[in-house]
Amino acid sequence: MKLLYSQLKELLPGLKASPKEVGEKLTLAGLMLDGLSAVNYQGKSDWLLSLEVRQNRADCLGVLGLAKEVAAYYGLRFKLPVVRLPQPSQKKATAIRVEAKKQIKRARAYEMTGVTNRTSPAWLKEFLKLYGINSINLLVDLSNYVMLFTGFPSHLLDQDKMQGSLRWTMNKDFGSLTTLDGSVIKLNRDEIIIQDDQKILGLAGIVGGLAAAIDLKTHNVVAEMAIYDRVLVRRNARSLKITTEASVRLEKDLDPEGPNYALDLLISLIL
Amino acid sequence: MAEFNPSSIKTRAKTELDQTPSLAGLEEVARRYLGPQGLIRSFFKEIGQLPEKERKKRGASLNLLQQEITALAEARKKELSQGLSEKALRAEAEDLGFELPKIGHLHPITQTIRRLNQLFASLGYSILDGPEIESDEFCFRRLNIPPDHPSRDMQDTLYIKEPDFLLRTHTSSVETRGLANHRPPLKFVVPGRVYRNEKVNKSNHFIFHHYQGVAVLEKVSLKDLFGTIDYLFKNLYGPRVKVRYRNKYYPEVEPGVGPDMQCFNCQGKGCSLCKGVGWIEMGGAGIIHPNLLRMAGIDPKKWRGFAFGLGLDRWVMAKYKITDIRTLLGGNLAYQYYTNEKTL
Repeated sequence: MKLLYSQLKELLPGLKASPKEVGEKLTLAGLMLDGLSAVNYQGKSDWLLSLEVRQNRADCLGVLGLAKEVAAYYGLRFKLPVVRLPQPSQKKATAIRVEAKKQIKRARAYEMTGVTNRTSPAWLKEFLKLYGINSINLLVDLSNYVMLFTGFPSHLLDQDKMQGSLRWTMNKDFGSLTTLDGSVIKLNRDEIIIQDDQKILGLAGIVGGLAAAIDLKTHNVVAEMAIYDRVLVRRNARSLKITTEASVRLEKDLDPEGPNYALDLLISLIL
Repeated sequence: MAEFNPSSIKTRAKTELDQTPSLAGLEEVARRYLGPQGLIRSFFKEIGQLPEKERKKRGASLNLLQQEITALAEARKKELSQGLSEKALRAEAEDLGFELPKIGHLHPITQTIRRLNQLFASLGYSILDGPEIESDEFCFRRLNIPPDHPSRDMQDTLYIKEPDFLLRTHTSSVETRGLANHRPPLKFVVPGRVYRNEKVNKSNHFIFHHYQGVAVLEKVSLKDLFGTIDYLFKNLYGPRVKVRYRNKYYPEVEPGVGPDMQCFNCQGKGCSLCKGVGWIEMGGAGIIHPNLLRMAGIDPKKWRGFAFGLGLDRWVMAKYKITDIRTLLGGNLAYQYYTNEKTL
């Protein structure tokens, strides 16, 4: 997991240690520094730390988790950036149906209407590039940004391409899924998936489908974030031979309370 | 009082030792430095003339110098004895009209294992062995690595019949067998070959070697673990080696420790061997997780243990300047490296 030094200092203004020292201390604490490179970010010279996050620290697969670790080491005060959401216009809760109740620990979703998608600003493209992620469009990029920042993956769907409500189910009906990048995956009819009333929308915790993919014309968005039974996500990913940044995180025990802050952050960035 | 310059003394001693052609001459030179009327002794006698705060430091330097010159003399002695016997044999062979075939030696990994075995035997450890074709039970489950657990991803296993039969990925599989088959107090080491699904290239192979150590006693602490590992490294790499211990997660230990050795190539400054880090990862260690003891039928409230597992190949390669790991498993090694042991 990579960490940008300037972002760390933003979260921990009291931090006086140099990037090298932070790397050394994190190494001693269990997150080994396996790369430290001088980078240019937003026109300023910066440092990118690359840390080995072993299987017991899924909380450190996000910048916030790493910042908390650094704060704990140095005894600094850590404050979560404040997120303010506008009041929802509808009192009624969005219709999402969790039918695979035993396999899902937490599911949250928001509906947003009248959103304008476009290409991402330079800072976001630059940021994602540091992590080896290509920029697609603003909405998708923000979802990736929040995943890198909080450690919680999310998924955005174009509501106009959906029929009916968003449902989490155990796959019985669908034999294949066309993923976001166009490849077709054969399914075993035992995976945990997201679907609407007609078609399959994605492999839960792993990858989204092309059917409701976000493009530049998208105006109405459903944003979902969920925590699953990690064993199931791992089994599905292994048997279908897919590994994604999302699956790597959801295969481990993530905090079911995490989507409270993380999804709200994503929504506030979009709006 | 003569000026004390340990590095120039050491250089002088080495030169004199190297230039001595006979064993008798060697004894003479050694006596001049190390003997009761020797140079080092004379410096010791002069310690009383130093200001109080310098005495301890001088004493330590002298002890180190003595160790180093002793090691140099031993190495030269070995060189001379081998050289003499090989030379004599060759001369005799020539007389008889044939060419002496090149004399080989034990594989450097075998040499290292034997040396470590001797070291640990003298500490009261037994040497255990176990199967290379292993079961999921002893290779993973008994090590607190359940099926479908993310910690399974820390290694890429070669299966014979998934998921039950595989080639062991670490010598820890023999640790679990040792815990199951013997009652504490226990002290054993396990040298062995291990297998992981790795792409074969200059620095990685799917076949490599581990050295495991396990101690289960009534009382054991991290200090005992660190002391044991320090002792091991000093024996392999010389008295000046620097080791650090950092937090490192492994499911089979809690707390988990990663022993790192300071890069001998750059003394910690950073170079191509240690990828700029200055420290080299040597393996894993820690206090044995109570789950392992419980699964072996050992009461974790009465017994505590430590365990360590170190990779042997890369360090044997570094020590003998072998640059390609594939050489370790080929036949070309017989004539290509030194049999004299050079401490770092």
